[in-house]
Amino acid sequence: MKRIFDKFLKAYLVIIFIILYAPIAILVLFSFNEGITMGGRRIGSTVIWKGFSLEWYDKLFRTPEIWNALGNSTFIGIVTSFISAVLGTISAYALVRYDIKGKNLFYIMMLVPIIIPEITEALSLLLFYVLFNIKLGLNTIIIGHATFCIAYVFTVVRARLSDYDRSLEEAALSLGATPFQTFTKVTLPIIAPGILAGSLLAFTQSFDDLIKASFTTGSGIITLPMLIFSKIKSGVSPEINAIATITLIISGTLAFISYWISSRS
Amino acid sequence: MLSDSNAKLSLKRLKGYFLIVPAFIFELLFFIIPLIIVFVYSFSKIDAFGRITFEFTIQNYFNILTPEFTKTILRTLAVASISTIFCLILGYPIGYYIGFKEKKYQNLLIMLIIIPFWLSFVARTYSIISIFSTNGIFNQILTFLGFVGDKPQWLYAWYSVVFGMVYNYLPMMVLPIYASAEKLNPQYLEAAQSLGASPINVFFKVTLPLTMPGIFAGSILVFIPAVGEFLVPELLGGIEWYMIGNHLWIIFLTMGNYPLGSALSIVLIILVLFITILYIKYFAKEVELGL
Repeated sequence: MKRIFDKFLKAYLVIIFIILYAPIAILVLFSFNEGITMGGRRIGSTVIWKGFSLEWYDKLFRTPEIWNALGNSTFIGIVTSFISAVLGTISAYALVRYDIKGKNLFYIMMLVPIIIPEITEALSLLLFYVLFNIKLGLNTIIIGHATFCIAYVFTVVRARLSDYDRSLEEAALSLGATPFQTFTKVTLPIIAPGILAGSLLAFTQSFDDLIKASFTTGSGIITLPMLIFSKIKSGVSPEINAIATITLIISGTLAFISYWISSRS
Repeated sequence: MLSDSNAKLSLKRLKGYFLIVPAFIFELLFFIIPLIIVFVYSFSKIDAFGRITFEFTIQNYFNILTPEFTKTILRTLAVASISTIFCLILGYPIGYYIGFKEKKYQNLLIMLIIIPFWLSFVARTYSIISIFSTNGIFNQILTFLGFVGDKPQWLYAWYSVVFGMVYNYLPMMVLPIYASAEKLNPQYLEAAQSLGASPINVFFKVTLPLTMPGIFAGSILVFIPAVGEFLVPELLGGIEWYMIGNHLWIIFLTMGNYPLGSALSIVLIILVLFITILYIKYFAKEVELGL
């Protein structure tokens, strides 16, 4: 009876994993679907297989709009993860290592941006920019992303700092190292994998964001998720599958690197 | 001597403040103050030409009480609740199995649960459209299995929205349940069993109560993003199944009616905070996000 139940659970798990991954696999598969010519234009199906072709990727690489969006998203992601890494790390360090009053308040302040719906954060930031006449552009998107990405680095680094042996720092200090030397030579190398993992997560969350970017972008500036979204609104096509596949490859690679870093240390 | 060490302590504390000040100012300036601005805007006036004046009025909140918006708010709560319940029913056995039964491939399986969280949300939601479209894979499978007649329309209904939510947020439910199932002590279950409890009784009297923290944490992690969701109802639901998030998008980005949109988003924030505080007060021993 118990055996049968366990087998049943196992089979259920397999089915759930198939349901979780099949749509992604099908999306990637149909990015290679051959199109047909209709009225002088190439169109393609995302549900009926015609044959293998790289034409949609070929089209992508020759569309400046996509390169532009990819460039914007990458730039925003890199700057966001850098800001998040610096601010998240030093505040996590301060909170774990120093006796600070109002710790809980600060902790709540770091986590609330993850709890409040993203769309309300996005529209509140838009009102802020409008009220103070701040020109919308790449910078305004980066600020919007950093408000919630700081929390990712903060959480990961904080966990790592509270885990490790503090006597290492004390040893360095008692051997005559300055607090700054202790931080750069002892603490930083130990928490570096945490900072890196947190920054990678921050990058993917920024790279993937549609809502905040849509609310805080300036005229003519478009990110990759915004481009995909506007293309979906005008109808599904293997071309969208191809762009989506590229974003999946980028964030999948980063997830793999992050997993590799944290499993090594 | 004493005052010297006190001075040292306060200097050390000062250094600590110095280190958190940058992040604090950043969040204050770009997160807290904007929220206060939304609150102020929600009491402001807009005239027929779209000019906004800061004269105190509660008209915007009255406008939300109209049937159109109350329906949207109720629909949002209903869709988010149903999605959370489905995530719980579907996710509990997964978290339980990976946390309690499986030891050999535990890390691999939990990694497989987390990976989708890293992958593009837009791409994942888009991938469902093709599956459930009229000529999509799902209907192709149904035809293959021998179903005849008109191909059913799966998209643009409450179930396609709920499916999209469950598909995207299931990992958020599984992770905390997994974390609490991992802490389960098998001896408790054996004790109950050897004292003559049936497997069903063991589950409801021992396993379920012990994994309750995971259930509550998972439910809140699914419910909160679901209440504020924009993309899933936008792509899989259509206008008929628009939620608060979709109306906020239109009010702000298409209509530019900031006072009305601010009032609606204050309602959304209050809903989310109310649920979070309820959870922290009654269910969470400590804030456990399970990520």
